[in-house]
Amino acid sequence: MQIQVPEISLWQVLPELIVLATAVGVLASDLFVKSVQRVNVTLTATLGLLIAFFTARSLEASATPIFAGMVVRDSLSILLDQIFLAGAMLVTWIGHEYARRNPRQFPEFTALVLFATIGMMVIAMSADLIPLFVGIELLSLPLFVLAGSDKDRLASGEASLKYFLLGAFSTGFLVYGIAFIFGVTRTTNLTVIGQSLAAHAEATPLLVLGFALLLVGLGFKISLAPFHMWAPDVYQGAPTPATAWIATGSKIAGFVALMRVFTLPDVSFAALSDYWTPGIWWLALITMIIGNAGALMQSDLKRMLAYSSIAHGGYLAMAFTSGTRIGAEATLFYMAAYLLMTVGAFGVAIAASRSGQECEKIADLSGLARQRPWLAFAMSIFMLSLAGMPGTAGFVGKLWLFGAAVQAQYYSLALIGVLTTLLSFYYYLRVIVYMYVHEPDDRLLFNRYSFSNGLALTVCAVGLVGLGVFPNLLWSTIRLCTGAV
Amino acid sequence: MTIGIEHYLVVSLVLFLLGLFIVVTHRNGVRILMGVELILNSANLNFVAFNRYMPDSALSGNVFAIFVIILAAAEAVVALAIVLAVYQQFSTIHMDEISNMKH
Repeated sequence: MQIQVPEISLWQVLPELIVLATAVGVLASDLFVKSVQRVNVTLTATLGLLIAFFTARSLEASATPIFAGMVVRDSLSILLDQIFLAGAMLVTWIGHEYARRNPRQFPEFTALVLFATIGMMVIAMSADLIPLFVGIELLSLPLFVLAGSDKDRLASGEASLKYFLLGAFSTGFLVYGIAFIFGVTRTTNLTVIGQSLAAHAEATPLLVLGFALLLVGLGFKISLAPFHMWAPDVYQGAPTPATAWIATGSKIAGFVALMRVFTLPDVSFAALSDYWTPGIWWLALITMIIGNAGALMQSDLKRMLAYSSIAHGGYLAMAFTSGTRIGAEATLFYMAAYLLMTVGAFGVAIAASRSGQECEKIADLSGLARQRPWLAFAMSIFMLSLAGMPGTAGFVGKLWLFGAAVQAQYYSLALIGVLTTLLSFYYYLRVIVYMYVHEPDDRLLFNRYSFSNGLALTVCAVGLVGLGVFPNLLWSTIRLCTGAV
Repeated sequence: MTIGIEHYLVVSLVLFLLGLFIVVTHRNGVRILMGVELILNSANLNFVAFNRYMPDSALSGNVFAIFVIILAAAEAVVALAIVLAVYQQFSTIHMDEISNMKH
């Protein structure tokens, strides 16, 4: 029997390898260096991520799969790599600030963020269900540990256990679903699946069951209602920088997985959109309503952001339902905007701590504008962008999301989207009211925030306003991506 | 009677449902983990069976099963580490008692 060794072109996965090397280096530094300086860890991670970022930029896009058809280096994967790498950098910076109060396990924290990033990048470039599944696991396992990394707080352990059990459970659904898809189409390669479905586009019960289970499994990962129950507890309990990465990186990666499987033209399930579209339609509808209704009632900042993140998953799923090119473009743009505003909001939650007291309640932000005006100003930008105020990237992104839904004639879905967006202004503006109008409850001063956190918040705020005023900066790149795939 | 693919599918479905039943009804963290392992193994059985009964088998089912086994092992390691950490804090791994977050 002859075994053909596929061509191994390692340079095309160079960004992933650089991140891997950085993560291992950071982890090993804790073993070999007596007392690791926090600054050095963050600097190393930043440097590694920057090199990986520019390596990804310089890669040549090609629609031909590599590694025996396992992964594909198309322009979509290159763009997503850059989004994930930039996000990881921001999370490392806000984590640096968090570590000032929880200095233990800091190198591990950074290394785990980087490991999770590799998982996201693998999902972004997978052309086969095997790397897709491996990527999802690579992303999930470090995040389970990150959620429980703050051993001084009971809630952290609870969050980690809940996240793990539901995450593993959803993986079970995912794998069982993939098994059926494999059984019907006799392959795990997404392009070949797409061709075989396009050739005889009849949905056998096994196939429908397969992709329903796949959808449920991914629905857990991106916390679409009714699979969202874990999100509020996990977001609240996990250490805030870990929450930021769970809320952004993992959710975006989940949507990328959906995109790879369900919507890319010529690939995968696009041929059967009549069957899966109604499912995602209902999930998007329920998610928008439950996310926004849940956020209305929260007094805990991280819990409120958790429900808000669920709601934004619903908006993304709405554009995703349309299955059109504009839908995919809007989803990609909104992912980038969502990353900036959510990491920014959690960054403010970290920065707005008082001595020995984390910012937990929304009321803890009272009087922030008087003591830390720039922090309050940045938070206002994030909140307005999350709500969708004109002039911010959140507005432009939402406009395109709704536009995609309307263009696909999902009028009721778009209407619910607009109504829930109006509703969401209430709980986002409430945060601003607390910061600017309310007096602080006690006389404790807010801590000074570190340079790294300030840098992260500045990048997020400037990015949001910049993309809000000049959306073409990103839009043109995205159009290149979807035009090519 | 010859054993065909449908027999394997039924066995794997039973395994899947047992796993699901355990996850839904039990509140002990380790038992839930065992239920999840059953679900993963039911999927493995499907992969291997489909691969065996396919005319032009490309072995990717078997390969996928190997990946699932490896990742399930990694998952079990993380799970037990988390369970140990939680047990140190709460002195229990009963899910209903591990709840101190205000809603």
